[in-house]
Amino acid sequence: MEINIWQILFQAINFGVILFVLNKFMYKPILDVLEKRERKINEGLAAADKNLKASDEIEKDKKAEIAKARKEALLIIKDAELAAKSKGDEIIADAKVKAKAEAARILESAQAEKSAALKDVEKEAKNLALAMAKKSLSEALSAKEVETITAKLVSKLG
Amino acid sequence: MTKVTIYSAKELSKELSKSIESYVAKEFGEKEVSYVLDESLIAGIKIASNDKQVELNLSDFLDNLGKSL
Repeated sequence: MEINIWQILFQAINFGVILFVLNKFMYKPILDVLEKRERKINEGLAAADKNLKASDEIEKDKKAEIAKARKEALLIIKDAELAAKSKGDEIIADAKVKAKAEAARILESAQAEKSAALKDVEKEAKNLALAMAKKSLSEALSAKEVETITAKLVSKLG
Repeated sequence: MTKVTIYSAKELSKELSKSIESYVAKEFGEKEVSYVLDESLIAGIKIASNDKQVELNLSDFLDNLGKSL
């Protein structure tokens, strides 16, 4: 077999031309397209990553807000409980004062009634003693003694 | 003429009645006098008109007795 140097040269040039044409008209456009696609994909991934981070932030903020609202609600409940307890204590204290005053009033009224009753009894006892004394005296004094006493009293009329 | 009533436990003697009537004339003026027995007085008298009353009873006597003692 004979090696033809001109043929090898021609083939090399031919290969070069094909390579140049392919590179210019096929490889470069295809590479451009691939590059663009890769860029787009990367951009998409970056955007997705960014959105993910943003939604994490939002989730974090939401949790913080919920925790804050819960804490405030607990404080409000605690304040309401304290206020209710204080009001309850106030009502109980007020009721105790009123009950004590009412008891004192009832005691005073009972004591007044007792005094009045004792006075009535005393009066009745006096009346009874006087009536008994009069009866005893009327039986004990003679007519002469009655006249003597009456005369002595009349003499005082002057 | 206003009525004056003289109350006594027993019937009064004339002497006593006279003394009382002179007192009544002096204190009550000329009045129509009547006598009523009231045993509850026991001893003593009560002189009463519409607007005035004078009573001297056993308790007055006993009071004076107490004072003299």
